[in-house]
Amino acid sequence: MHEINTMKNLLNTTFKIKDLGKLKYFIGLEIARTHEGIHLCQKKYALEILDDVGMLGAKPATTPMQKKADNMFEEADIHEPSSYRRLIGRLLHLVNTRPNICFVVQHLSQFVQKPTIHHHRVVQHVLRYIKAAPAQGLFYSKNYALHLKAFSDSDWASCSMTRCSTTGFCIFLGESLISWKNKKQITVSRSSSKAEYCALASTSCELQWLTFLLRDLHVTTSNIACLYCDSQAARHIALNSSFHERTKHI
Amino acid sequence: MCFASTLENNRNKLDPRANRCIFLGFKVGTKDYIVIDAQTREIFVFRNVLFYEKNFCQVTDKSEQNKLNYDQNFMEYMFESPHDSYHRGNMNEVANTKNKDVGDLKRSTRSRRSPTYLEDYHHQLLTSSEKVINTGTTRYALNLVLLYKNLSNEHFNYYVSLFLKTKPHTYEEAVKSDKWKATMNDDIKALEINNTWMLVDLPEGKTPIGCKWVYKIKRRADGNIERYKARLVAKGYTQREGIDFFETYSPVAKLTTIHMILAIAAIKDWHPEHLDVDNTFLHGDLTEEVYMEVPSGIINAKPNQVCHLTKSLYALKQASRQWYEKLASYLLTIGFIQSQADNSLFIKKIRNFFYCFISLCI
Repeated sequence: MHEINTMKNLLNTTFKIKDLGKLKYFIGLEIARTHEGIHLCQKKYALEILDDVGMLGAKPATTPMQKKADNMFEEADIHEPSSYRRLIGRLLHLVNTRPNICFVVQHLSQFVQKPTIHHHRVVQHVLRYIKAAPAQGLFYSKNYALHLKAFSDSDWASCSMTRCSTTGFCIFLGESLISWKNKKQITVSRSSSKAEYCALASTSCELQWLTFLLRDLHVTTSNIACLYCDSQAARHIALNSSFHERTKHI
Repeated sequence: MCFASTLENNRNKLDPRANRCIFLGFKVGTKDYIVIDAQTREIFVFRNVLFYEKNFCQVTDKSEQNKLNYDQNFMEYMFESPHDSYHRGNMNEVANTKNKDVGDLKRSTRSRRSPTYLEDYHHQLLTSSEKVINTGTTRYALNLVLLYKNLSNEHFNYYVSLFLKTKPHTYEEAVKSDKWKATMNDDIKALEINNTWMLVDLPEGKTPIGCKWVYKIKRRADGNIERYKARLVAKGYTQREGIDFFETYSPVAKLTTIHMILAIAAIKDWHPEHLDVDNTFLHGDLTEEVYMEVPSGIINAKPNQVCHLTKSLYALKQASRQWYEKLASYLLTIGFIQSQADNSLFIKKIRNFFYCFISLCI
């Protein structure tokens, strides 16, 4: 504690600094600390979004997204796309504590150029889902060892327009989720193994970066990072170095 | 006397379909009539009115029947209406009823909120009263008082505090008020202590960028005013790339880094602290040669002089980058190490104790 105070004074002599005490509210993240761990949420931000859209009284939904409709591209365009774009931008910030809407937000953000009525309906469904639990967030428990675990998956040819696959991964430190991503792959995979292998590649990139970051923070992890994948084929390709020549471009 | 029909939405089956009212005049610019309700003594602008020109009605009045010192303004208002002669008959009664309201008129500068359930109707309670003030027909719009009877005291105070103090938009407006003048002088003083600019003659071939004052009222949660804030901002949108600025990118902390640090903080029991730098962007040094017009409020400048900026100002394109560079170089001199994985992360190790430092520009 003593060192912290000396450092604060040192900074205060150079720049004029306001001490806001313990970290509680930071760029929209509400941070609560108990003896069991740290809880992160964006309740205020979520409620502000609902208030601005006028959906505070909407019926809560239990799922973030409904099954995709077939005729989603045949519907009329939204008259005023700028409000849709603003809303998607705010939802993207909300994903910082809510990985559960990550998929639907990345799906919707592909259509900011030309949103249709269908997308507007999906956004409303997401908002209703947020309303069901606006204070939902991440919990970082203190009782686990520092150990990186990554889970990778892919959805083959999920985009019906381009037939591109989707990458998804989440990385845990102990039991706390620290990094997650959901992204459409830029190449077309002709087999689900390839889609899985691409996802595996981008996950290992992120994992590598996180290990660098941990090293910079002078934190020693208990053992090597684990990478989990649910596809036998992708595991086989990754493990067998005889395929290296044919797959190293990924 | 006339009957004004009641609104369909707010009446029950057995409620009267119309209220007895007295005609007061016409609303300027519309087809509406201004009427006063005989029972509740409210003044309405209303269109659905049925007239009975032969009858006169007495406005019900309880306590103030005897006080007949009617207000001069009210008289003027009455005489403005086209049916002067018609009104004289029942003017006294009406004026009588208005005494109480007129007495309350000191409060009439407050801004008004009509009840929300009426917002969709044409039947706004004399929203035109401001127009009346502007044209100078009456000094006090009569009907302002009546609107507020629906609000509770608490609400009322809040609205008054919220809308009574409006912030000025231009320097000319602000300089009239002492409070704003004082805050602006403070700001200029702070900038001069900081050596933000030097007054020089404008060299040839250079165009100065503009600047303006931005005003803000900082409020506490209950609506009370915490302080008045004035800030000088440059018109960064007039800057041209390659002349007034080169690089504008500044790194900000990645959210994954923040998540990572918080997760480790939970496990290792670290103490996350939150610091905020005052006047952040004013610290950055400018390397480009930027000239700015002399802001209004500075007295000792000669004509044709401009400000040669040496420190960055708010809203300059390169302000955040300059601040980042200043902070980074300072942190490196006092022994922090910049992380290669995330450039906005700075680490210092003292014995077995770690500082993590995130610089974040907003």
